[in-house]
Amino acid sequence: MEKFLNIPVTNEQKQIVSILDVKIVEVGDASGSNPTTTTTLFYGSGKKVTLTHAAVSAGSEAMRDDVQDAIIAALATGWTAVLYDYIPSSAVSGISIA
Amino acid sequence: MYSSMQKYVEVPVQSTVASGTTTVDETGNLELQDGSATFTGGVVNVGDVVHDTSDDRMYTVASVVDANTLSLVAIGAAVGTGVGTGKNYIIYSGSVSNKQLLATDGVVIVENAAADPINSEVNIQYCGSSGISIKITHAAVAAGNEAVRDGFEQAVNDSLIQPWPHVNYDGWLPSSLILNIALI
Repeated sequence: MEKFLNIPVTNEQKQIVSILDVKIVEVGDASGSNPTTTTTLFYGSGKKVTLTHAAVSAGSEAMRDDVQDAIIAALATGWTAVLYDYIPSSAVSGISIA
Repeated sequence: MYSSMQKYVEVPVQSTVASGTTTVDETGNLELQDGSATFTGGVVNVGDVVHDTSDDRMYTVASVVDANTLSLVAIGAAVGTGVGTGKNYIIYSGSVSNKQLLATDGVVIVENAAADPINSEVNIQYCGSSGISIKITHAAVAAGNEAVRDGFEQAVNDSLIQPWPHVNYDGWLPSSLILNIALI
């Protein structure tokens, strides 16, 4: 069942990110760097989507937890609710896939 | 593409309380000493877990001797005798943790890492040979102990039999402290 986070991105209105097949969400980018300004969703296929966001404090896992909570909430919505409006606790300024 | 009802287990991952590099050779003394650290003041506590990542040995903290020194108890399949000089270490809280989600759908196999000398790693393979693998690092246990693997396998079962809209399963209490979760 396809579900997407509908994320406001600075100067880009909203962008949708699939949560289908997300296996884990990690602090940092795909290589684990930039832990205060990036959070990455890892998919079973090996794809990675990295959110670049306003800085959180060093050691904070708040943004990861925030994304995790949004995934759980989105998956708990009925099948006609495909897009889940996610308001990040730290403003997202970019989304990239690798 | 693997498609199924997505489920997750909430894994309690222990917080990191200190890290650094040792400055004194405490091999044989069951201690760790770092002249630039401050372990006192509640930073490190009895029961916290020390991972000597240079030599891949684990210990629990028996006592905080002073600001720079910890007394240790060795744990794991291969045990150390204390942390030598110039060794990198990470100390994890024995009591404070945060919940991280780990997918339980699309799991192909869960295995103890065969080449791990201290028996502290469980690997999860997702979505066939081309899928990602995730490593759970836990407090080291005796050789042959597969309790963490078995516990996670049971959590996979328990989470997947939950009906929708129960997406996350918070019933897993790992038999050993979970220290880190990372992609391989």
